[in-house]
Formats: sequence, C-alpha cells, structure tokens
Amino acid sequence: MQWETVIGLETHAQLSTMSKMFSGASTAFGAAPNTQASAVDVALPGVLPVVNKGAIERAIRFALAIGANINRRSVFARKNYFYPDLPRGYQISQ
Amino acid sequence: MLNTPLKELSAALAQKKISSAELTKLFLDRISRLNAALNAFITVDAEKSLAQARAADERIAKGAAQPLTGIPVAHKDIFVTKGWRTTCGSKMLENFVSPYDAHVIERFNASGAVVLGKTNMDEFAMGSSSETSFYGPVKNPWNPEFVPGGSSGGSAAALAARMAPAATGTDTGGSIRQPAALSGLSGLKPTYGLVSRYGMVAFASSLDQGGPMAKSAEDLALLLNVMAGFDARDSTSIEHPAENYARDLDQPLSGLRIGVPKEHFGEGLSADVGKSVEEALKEFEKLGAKRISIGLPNSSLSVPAYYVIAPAEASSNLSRFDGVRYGYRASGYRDLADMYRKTRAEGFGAEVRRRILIGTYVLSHGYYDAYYLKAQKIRRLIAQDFAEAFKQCDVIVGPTSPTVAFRIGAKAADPVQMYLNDIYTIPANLAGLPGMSIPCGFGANSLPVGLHIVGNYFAEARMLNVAHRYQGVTDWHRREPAGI
Amino acid sequence: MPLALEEVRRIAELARIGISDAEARAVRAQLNDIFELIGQMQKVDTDGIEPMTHAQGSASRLREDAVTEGDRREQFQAVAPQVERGLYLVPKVIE
Repeated sequence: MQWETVIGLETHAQLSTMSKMFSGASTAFGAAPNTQASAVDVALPGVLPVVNKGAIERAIRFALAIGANINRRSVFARKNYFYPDLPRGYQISQ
Repeated sequence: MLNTPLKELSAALAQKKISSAELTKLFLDRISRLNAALNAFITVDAEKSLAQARAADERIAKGAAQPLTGIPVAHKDIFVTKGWRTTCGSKMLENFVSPYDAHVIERFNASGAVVLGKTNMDEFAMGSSSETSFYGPVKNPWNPEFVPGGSSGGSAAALAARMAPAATGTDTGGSIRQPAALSGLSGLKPTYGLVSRYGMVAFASSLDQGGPMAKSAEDLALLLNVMAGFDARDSTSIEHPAENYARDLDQPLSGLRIGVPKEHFGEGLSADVGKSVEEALKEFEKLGAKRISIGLPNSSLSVPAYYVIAPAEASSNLSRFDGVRYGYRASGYRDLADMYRKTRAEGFGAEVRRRILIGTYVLSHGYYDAYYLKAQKIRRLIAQDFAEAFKQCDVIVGPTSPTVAFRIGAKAADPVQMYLNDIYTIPANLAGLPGMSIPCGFGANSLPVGLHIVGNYFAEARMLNVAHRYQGVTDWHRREPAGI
Repeated sequence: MPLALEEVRRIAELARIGISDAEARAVRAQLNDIFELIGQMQKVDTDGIEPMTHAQGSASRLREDAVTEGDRREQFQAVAPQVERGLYLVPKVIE
C-alpha cells in the first residue's frame, strides 16, 4: 500500500495592535497572568465586546499585501463550546 | 408621598419639605413591612441606600440637583450594581457581587438617584410570571394568590405596593409591559439600542432592552431621560441625539391615527380585557384621535419565531456560567466535564435549563437553517408588517396581555401555555420597536388590565404623550391595591 | 418532529447540563411541546426573505486601538470560586 504524506500548516500571526480584538486590555507580552484581562475578557455577567478598528485595518492591509479578495461585508458568528480558557463559552469568529 | 408623582417628589426635595434620607427611609420602612408577604425585593441594604440619600441631600443643598436627585429607585436584579449582590433570580449568582456598575446604574448614580434595592424576577429573565425565581415567586399586590407578571415582576410588585416610587425592568418578549399590565402600572420598552445593555446580564442579545417602570407616563418620561443615551461599550447602542422625553406630554391628540390590529382582537383574547381596551379606544376618540383598522398578518408567527431566537441566544449567553470565574460551582465533581455538568444542572432552574436545551438544539449542526435562520426571516416579515402599518397610523394600540393576572402555579406545568402570554408584546421586540403598557381598567377577579401602545422607531416622546393625555382623562393609573 | 431520548442527552451534553434518564424523559415531553409550537413557523414561505439579525441592521461600531483597561485582577478574582497566585483553578483537564 502506498501512502502519500500531506501536511497542512495552520499559521497564526498575531496582529500588532496595542489592545485586544474585543476589549481595551493591553496585548503587551510578558505580564503576569490575568493582569491584562478586562471585565470583557473575563466575561463577567453583562459585559459586551467591541471590535478593535486597528485589527480590521491590519487585516485589510495584509489582504492587500497578498492580493486577496476583500469582502465588503463581514459577519461575526459565535462558535459555542466549553473550555476553561474560553470565558464566554464561545469564540467570536468569522 | 407614596402616591406623589416623581416631578412633585423632586420639588418637595428641592424645597426641603422632605429630605432624601427621610424619603428613602419611608420606602425602606414599607419594604421591611410588606416585602416578606410579596417577595418583591431580593436584596435591600438600608445602610448603602441611606448613604447615597445623604449624598443626594448634600447635592440638593448645593443647588446641584437634577430631576431624579434623591429619588429612590428599585432596580431589577439583572442590572449589575457594584458592591451590591446581583443574582438574576438565580442560584447561579446567589453570592455574586459585581465589581462594576451597569451603564444604566452609572447614569442613575450620576443623576443622584438612590439605589433602593434589587428586585425579584424570573430566573435570568426567562418567564412571564416571576415564578421561576430561585428566591421564590413574587406575589401580585392586588391579590397575592396571583402572579404580578414577569419577568420584571419584582419591580412591578414594588411599585404597585408603593414600596418604591420608581423602578427599572428589562423587556425581551414583554417583560416590562406584561408585568406593568398585570400589576396596574405604566412601563416602557424603548427602541432597541436606545438604552445601553452594558451591565444588563444578557438573555437574548438582539431582543433585550432595559426600560423604566412607574405609576404614570409622566414619571416614565423622567426615568427615560436618565436611562437613554449612547454608550461606547455597547456596540448596539445607537448614537441618537439626546431628547427630553417629557417635552411633548401635553400635546393634544387631535388627528392622531391609532392603528388597531385585527389579529390582536381575535381568539385568545379574554372578554374582560377586550372590553377595557375597547373603552380605552373610545376615550382616545373623545380626545380627537382616529381609529384605523390595520393588519399585522404575520403576527401569529411571532411567538414561534421568538421561541427559537430567544432560547438560541440565551443558550449562548448563559454559557459563561460554568463555575470557573464567578458564581456557583458544584461540589464533589470528578473532573472538569463533571464540574460543568453538575454546576449548570444545579445552578440553573428548570425553565432556564429547558430554554438552553431548545437553544442548543436549534443552533446545532443541521438545524440552524430550519430553525434559527427561518426565525430570522420571519422576524423580517414582522418588521415589514409594522413598517407597512406605520404608513397608515401613528401608534398601534391593543391589549398588552390576553388575560389579566392568573393564579400562582396555574400555568407553571405547561411551558407553552406560559409562552402564549407574550403574544401581543413579542412582535415589538422582534422588530426592535418601542412599546409601552398603561392601566386601562379592571377585569376578572378585579385585576388590572393593560393597554399596549407600540410606536415607530424612536417615537417614545409621542407614545408618552398619547399615554399622558389618556391618563389626564382617566384615573386607572392612580388606583392602588386595597389594604396595602 | 419529536425528539429521541438520545438527542435530548446529546443536546444536554453540548450544553454541559447534567441530566438523569428520568429528567431526560420528562424534559423530552416538554421540549416536544415547544417544538410543536415552533413548528408553526413552517406555515409561511420565507424563500427570498433576507434574515433580520437585529432592529437597526447597522454595522458594528468599531473601537480605536488603544489600551483603556488596567490591571483589575484582584477585584475580579475576589468573586472567583478558586484562585491561586493569580490563576483560576479548575479540575485537571485530561487530554
């Protein structure tokens, strides 16, 4: 039997924003655990996310740099699952 | 003092006829006498309230008072209040003390109002009777064997029993309007986006709105003036120019076109309610308004669509209650999965668990299109029905609830029966339109009947005007329960 | 479309709500009633209708990229069930 090896690389690149995607907490590297977790990040009852404009700008720049197609309309959806490092119990994704 | 309009209470405070501390104490005393029997409040903290009242008195003395400075306000226990417990009527948050204030609470604090206490409610706002609270059911002050309505039943009971002069509620499918109707009060659900949801524990994000509850439209206007306004922390908060919602209260109603939806007067509407609503419509005609028959053809689909959308959004919003960072955590678990399962099985009551299950199902793989997407399309149809109707009329008027208050326990066994209570109120939530309820008579068992008014987007001032003029020629809103 | 008992258990697991067999049976009956109510949606043809996500239909407002939140770990963890050295404690996750 012949086997063909197929390896996929999922690459994540952190955007160079100063604050987080959905909250105004700092993204600075090296801080003590949970000292850069705002009420929104900890998902306290009643908090709401607000999208980081800088992140959108950088995503568009990246898309232009690689000649990608930019959607004029993007929709956020929730991917619901349970994990201790997922405070809301869902991931806000596109 | 107990029946005094907010405007006059404010004047009395300014003229030093009474201090905020005295006024607050007056209501605190009533709460300590009456709350055990009615269960309207979950948390009261006299020390904290009086400290705020004294600060309000200082502000009044300095001449820096605003219309609500020194006025005690009862808050539905779904608005997080820094330093106070916020339970949402649930075991899950039994000991939760929020480290921050809801935006609405910040606004009341800035205006100098006094937090009088946190009121009881259906658990996580899921219910139409205030029976699902972990802290016991709320009793209707008109007859304690009956429900006050829900989910803002604690605020309704507090107002009806004169334990508070003003209150806040939230409305996702009718939870301000229906308890206002069943308890003889005035309540308003604003246009979606007018009142910030930051700090209002989320039930169904695309439907929830916080709003005022009080004894008159005039009082509601003063409360809305404080509650409404842009908040950058809520992405759905509308940047609408500031308004004085009391500015048009006295405008005459001549020429007002009142749309009466035929679908809301058919089968299911109890005769006593229909009669009171019909009499109210005649009063409006005497005030110069014109009745126009309109159709809301997709009305009957609003309850099914709502019971897909609301549970779906709730199931997601309540996922954060997992015992990890705050709230109830079960004891005696084997591992993480077991901790989650036990925490959520024990922390949530039956109605909440049911809705989470419905919501999880309709969002799960393979069912999303048939249920959630379908419901969102029906939502569009319902919004379009209203848009068409508002071409022919200025406000839409009908019954708030199909019946007057029912007995505690009467509908508890049948969730679907309970859901049908919201048949007239739900369409406004789906469309995001403002809606209000005001008292218009009494029905079976001498219980209050509510009149429902729906306006176009951002038409709150007009709706309050319509209600205020009606309250100028009737006295239903001034009646109070006997023996209270 | 009535739910099978197995489906009730599957949904309960997705929602991480512990449920006994007796409870699953009881809630299944109630859920089926609710699904009958929801089934009324099928009465209307919605082909070609654009779904409505919420009232205003406007775009999400964006926030300037700036650090506006500081360290509030102590305050936030004061309400936590179990913490140690600034970390939230949970039962071991076995992968």
